[in-house]
Amino acid sequence: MWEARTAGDSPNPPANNYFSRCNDLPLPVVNNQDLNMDHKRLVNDCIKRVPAAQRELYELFAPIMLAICYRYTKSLADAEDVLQEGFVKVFKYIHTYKFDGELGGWIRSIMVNSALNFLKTSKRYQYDLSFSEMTLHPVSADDPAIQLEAKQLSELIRQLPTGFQTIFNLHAVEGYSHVEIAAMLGISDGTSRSQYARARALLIEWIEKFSSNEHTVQYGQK
Amino acid sequence: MDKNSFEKQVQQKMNELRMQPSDAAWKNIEERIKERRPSRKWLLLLLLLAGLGGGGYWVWNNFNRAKTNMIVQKNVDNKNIRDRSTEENNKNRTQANSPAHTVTNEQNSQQRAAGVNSSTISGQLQPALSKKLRLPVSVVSSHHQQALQTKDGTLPDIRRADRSETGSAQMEIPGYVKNIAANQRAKEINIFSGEITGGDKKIKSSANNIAANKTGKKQNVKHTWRFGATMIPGISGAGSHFLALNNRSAPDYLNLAGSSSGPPGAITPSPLKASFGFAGGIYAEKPTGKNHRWTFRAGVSFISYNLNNKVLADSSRIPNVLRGGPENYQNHFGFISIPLSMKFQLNRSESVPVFLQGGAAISQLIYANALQLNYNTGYYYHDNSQFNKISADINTGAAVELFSRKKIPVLIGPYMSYSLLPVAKSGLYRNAHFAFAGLNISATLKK
Repeated sequence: MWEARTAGDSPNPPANNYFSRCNDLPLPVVNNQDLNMDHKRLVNDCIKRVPAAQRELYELFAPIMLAICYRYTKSLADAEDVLQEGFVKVFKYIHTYKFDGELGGWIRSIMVNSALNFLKTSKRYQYDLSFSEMTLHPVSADDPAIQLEAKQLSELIRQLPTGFQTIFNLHAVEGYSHVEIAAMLGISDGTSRSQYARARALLIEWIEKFSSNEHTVQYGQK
Repeated sequence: MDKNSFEKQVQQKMNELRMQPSDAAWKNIEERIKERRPSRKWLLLLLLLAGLGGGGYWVWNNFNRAKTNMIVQKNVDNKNIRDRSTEENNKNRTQANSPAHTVTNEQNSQQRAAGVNSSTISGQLQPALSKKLRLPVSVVSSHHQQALQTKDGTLPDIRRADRSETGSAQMEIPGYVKNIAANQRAKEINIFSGEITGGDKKIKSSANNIAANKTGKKQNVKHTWRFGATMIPGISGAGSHFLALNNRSAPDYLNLAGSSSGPPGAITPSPLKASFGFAGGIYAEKPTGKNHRWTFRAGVSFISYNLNNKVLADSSRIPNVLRGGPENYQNHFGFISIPLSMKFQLNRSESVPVFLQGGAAISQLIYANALQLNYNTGYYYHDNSQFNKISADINTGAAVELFSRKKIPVLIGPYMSYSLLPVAKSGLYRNAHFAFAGLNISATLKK
């Protein structure tokens, strides 16, 4: 299952990332206790449908959530559609959030589910998302170092066929197991493993080509 | 490198990614999450359904009651017949051993067909009954057999005789045949003639029972739920006390962009003047108490409070108000309310009863377009979040019931209500309570 990840070499604690509206903005330093209190107040106000609190919650989490939605879709417009749908659900069901996990994680899971629903219901994605049963493909043992920037890597993931893209995102980024993915997508876990292995292999190949300037990713093409 | 380091790198890179959504995204979300006010269409539908449900219940209730009354009446009649039969039977038995009188069903039918009333029947029956008739057993119906039962519940010898001599057996039934005749006659009295005399004397017990039946019916009607509709046109206001309704001629202070024509150095809001108000709804009521002088009433109502104030118009800030001079602005508040009340009948008149009424209501704000005042800038603005969504009211009134003997009596009289909770938590209405006075007109459906 997904859990809050560290921000790597970032000097700021990971949760502080939520306060940034984009990568260029400096991240404020807030300790976790204050952050939790702040989230609690925010959630309580959102339960009371205070417009200012809803706006604050949106501004806090929208940038990171849009990046997630973007990874699952093929266009920014689709990603924003998913984001809207996800936030509408967040505000509708915020009273069910019990503070038993990180607020960002809860919102993230809603976004992922919204993205999957979007892929399942959107006609443009339905064909690409049809998973054929495949023979088990062993996962490559290659673990190359990724020299790309986050945005470049994100674009490469989006270049994958939708089925590969979805399973790769769910397993490699969100941390869902193949059994969980199988249940979410209505496929067998074998298919999930196989698709993931192929997606991974393809992505590693592209990363290597990209790193050696043999492959050019066209940003925003799709 | 660690196992799965590729996945870890991907996770790390992806979690660093941020993207700024467009402004349109939030606008769309905001539009979708905006708290939807309950539509008036739904409110009307709700009222309609409640009305239909109430009406349906009333019809069903009356139908059932009519059926029950009919059954009760029949049972009482039968009981009268039995009682009277037993009395007469005993009387006859104790009388001299005169020959038993009887009359067959055929004879009764003939008399009934001829339209002969009980007195005539009784007159004609006397000589006929004085004869000793031979009654075929087959004529005795089960009902008559019941009448033939003695007081201790045992059947007389007739049955045994019947069993021993089946078919065309005929026998004399001294004493008991008289009972049958009396029974039949009593039936004739109650069903055909409608008179309460039987034979040659008054049947007091029957008369008493009929009177008792009527009373019972009346009591039954009084104890049932009745449904009705009410409308209260009047005047509504808001202030720190009920007399806020009397501020219609208060001077106006005008506010615009920090300037004030009120007391210098302070922005004084334009007084909230009382204006037209309205309440209307449906209710169910039930008389209670020993003498039915108390009546409990519950219902659903819509209440509209309106307040006027003067503002200097600025069309950019107050929509639908023309730019220019001071304008009246009408602040509307709409509530859906559940009133509960008790009504007490002051007099004992049945034709023009006078009632005193008092109760409480809990209301939910369903819409408001009222303005709030920014005391720093002097601008009025809309902010419904400051208003208390729930209101608790107390009300009182007096009423006189007109057409009380008709099917739909009308109750009319003065009505006043006062809100216990302030209109708003803060701002212009912070210390204001709604007050309402009007003319209560209620129509109750009754049988």
